[in-house]
Amino acid sequence: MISKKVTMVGAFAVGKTSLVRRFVESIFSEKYHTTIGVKIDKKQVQVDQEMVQLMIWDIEGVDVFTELNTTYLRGASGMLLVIDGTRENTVDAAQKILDTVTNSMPETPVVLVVNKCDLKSQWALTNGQLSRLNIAEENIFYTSAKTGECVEEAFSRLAELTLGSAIME
Amino acid sequence: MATEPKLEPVQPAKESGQDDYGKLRSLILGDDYESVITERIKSNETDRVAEVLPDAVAKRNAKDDSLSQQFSPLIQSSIDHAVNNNRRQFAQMIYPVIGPAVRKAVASALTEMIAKLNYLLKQSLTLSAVKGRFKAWRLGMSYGEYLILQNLHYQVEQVFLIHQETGLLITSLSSDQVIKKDPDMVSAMLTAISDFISDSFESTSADSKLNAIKFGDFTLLIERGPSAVVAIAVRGVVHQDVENQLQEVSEQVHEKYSDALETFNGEAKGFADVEDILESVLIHEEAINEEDTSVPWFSIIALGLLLVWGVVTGVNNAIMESKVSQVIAAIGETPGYQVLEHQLEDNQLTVAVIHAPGAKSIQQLQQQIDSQGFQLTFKNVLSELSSPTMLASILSQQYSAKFSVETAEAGFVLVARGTLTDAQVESLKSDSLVTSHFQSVRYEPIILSSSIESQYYAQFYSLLKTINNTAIHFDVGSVMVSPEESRALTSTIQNIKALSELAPQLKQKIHQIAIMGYADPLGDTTANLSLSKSRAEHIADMFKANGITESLIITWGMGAKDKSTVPDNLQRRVDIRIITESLE
Ligand SMILES: Nc1nc2c(ncn2[C@@H]2O[C@H](COP(=O)(O)OP(=O)(O)OP(=O)(O)O)[C@@H](O)[C@H]2O)c(=O)[nH]1
Ligand SMILES: [Mg+2]
Repeated sequence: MISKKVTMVGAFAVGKTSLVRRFVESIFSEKYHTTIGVKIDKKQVQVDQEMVQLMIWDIEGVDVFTELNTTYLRGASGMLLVIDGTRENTVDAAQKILDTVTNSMPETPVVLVVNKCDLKSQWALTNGQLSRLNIAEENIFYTSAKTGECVEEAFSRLAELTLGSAIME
Repeated sequence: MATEPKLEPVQPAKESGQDDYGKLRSLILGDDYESVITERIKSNETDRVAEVLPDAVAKRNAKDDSLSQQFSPLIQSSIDHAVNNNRRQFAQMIYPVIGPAVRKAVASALTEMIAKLNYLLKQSLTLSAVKGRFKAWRLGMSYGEYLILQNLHYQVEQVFLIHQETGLLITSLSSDQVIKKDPDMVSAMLTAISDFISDSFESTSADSKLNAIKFGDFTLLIERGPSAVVAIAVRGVVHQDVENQLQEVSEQVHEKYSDALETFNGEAKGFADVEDILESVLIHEEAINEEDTSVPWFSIIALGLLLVWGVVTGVNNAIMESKVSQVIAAIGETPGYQVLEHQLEDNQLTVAVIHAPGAKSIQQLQQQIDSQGFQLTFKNVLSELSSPTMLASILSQQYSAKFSVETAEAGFVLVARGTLTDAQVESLKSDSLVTSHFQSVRYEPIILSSSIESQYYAQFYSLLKTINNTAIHFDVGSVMVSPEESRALTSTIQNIKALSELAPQLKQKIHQIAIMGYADPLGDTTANLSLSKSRAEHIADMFKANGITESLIITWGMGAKDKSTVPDNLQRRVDIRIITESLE
């Protein structure tokens, strides 16, 4: 079996940890415990005929005090960039992360996840806002860690992309 | 433009003039001329540049940063050079600053992960230690102490080969008795923890990276090479030999698999036979004992042969042997000293000892011991045996009684349990180990702590439950165990063995181990019956081959017995059921 390291990045409280929990353990909690440093989980995904073991590095969210710690990104074959559909400024944070990452590892595939899509009434994003992130349509997913919507799909897509990629230095 | 035409006519005259002058010079000054003149210019030039250099640098720096740009790679490489050549000095300089900071940072930010790592490792290592722990408990000492008393200073229980860049596990091996638990996670977490540390100090120098984590009984040693990390879980006291072997293994892996490491993409291809290298660091109990016992065997046989041939040197050998044991015994009898191993090479007798702080110094011992003509050297395995509990365990062996430690207001009290002769009690009173570390000695009858006992019962029942819930699944029509299922099989076998070892000590009797084979409903009934029977028998064979008591095993072929709602793939299985009874 093949193993791949992937990372979860994005602003704080966008739901990175919740997405991983939903994906790995199929559970969700309203409680918010911010991640310190990094938390690691794993899950196997089937891509075509092959099993891929994803080692998921859930990295602490960026905020005004915490910058993205790029050491944790080393050797990743894919990245799940998460924004919160109810908070417009999480797109800026995502933009900033993309800038840093595309510099140091330009070929790492990125899947963009717009999370909390169950909160339609508080939705704050307009369609145009995502286009400046320059991510291909087929790599964008509207998810909810709460209902589980599209979570599997997003991780499956990421797994698929990791197989096509070489490990970046 | 205007000056050009003026210059042109002058040029030829000047050239020819110089030419003549030059010829004249070389006529007068001969061949040395050229070399003398360049030498002259060089030294002048150097002086001149030396004069203006500081000013020039300052001026240029004020203008732009092109100088620093030019210099930075140079400086970088000379720093690299200096660091590489004086690693030790740099480490020594940096360590006092970084050491405490590392501890603090790790403690505050990563306790949770370390706790989880600890849990994972503990889970996978405890079963193997159940037996030893049980004995240790009976003797009233901690497992770590027990290991030392068993002359087992260490046991490497698991080794991980980790890809440096990604933190992905390439492969892991464990000593026979250990059940692997999520080596993938262990490997990723180790990498994350050391990433965190190196990031916190923005340092990539290999020496500042994490190289050991200690959890209770065991230590994780981490050897970081350029493209792979080798980590081992060691139980007991880490011996220099283990560290050396670890380093060796890391070097060998890098040498042999440099290409595979370079192109590693998450799949352990290209690492054929790497286990053979990793295996060499899995030094464990048996290996040490084998070494210990093989020495006398060899000399007995050698002695026998030599005696047959009537050669005098044979007798010499025997005399040597007995001299060695006299020296070893003398050291062992010195209060506070314990001999772990010894080695004789030519006339050089090396003795590995542990000694308590209150005991005689090694120098004193060296003077006092009759070395029987050998060149005697000591290897101090564990110099800082300061903990009173450790001392208690050494005493336990010397006096074959059970000692433990209690804290009192003014220091420690040594509590003795079991039987001691009057003479022993006397010598205990004047033993320097005791007098230097304990305020007083108290004697008590043997008491078994029931809470620990119940812990072992809990372990027993949890093993039983795990085994009774095991199902091993099969492919359609197959009696062979697939690679995915073989892990379940291995762990079941290990669990049953651990259970059988615990049972008699907890006064539990294992009556039978039933292996029940099932088949899915496809195909005809007789065929299914015989298929299910073969499945059960195949598993029984595996059990027997792996040392599970044959007379306890019974096999049944159940055919297809499940409800039709159970998926076929879950119906094709073997269940295990153990029946036990408490004799108390
Ligand atoms: N309604 C709703 N709430 C969500 C969803 N995902 C996460 N949350 C909530 O958002 C909060 C933050 O979630 P986390 O998963 O901890 O966020 P995070 O990105 O890991 O945060 P940091 O670790 O601090 O960077 C929690 O209270 C979650 O319950 C979602 O899809 N829908
Ligand atoms: Mg989080």
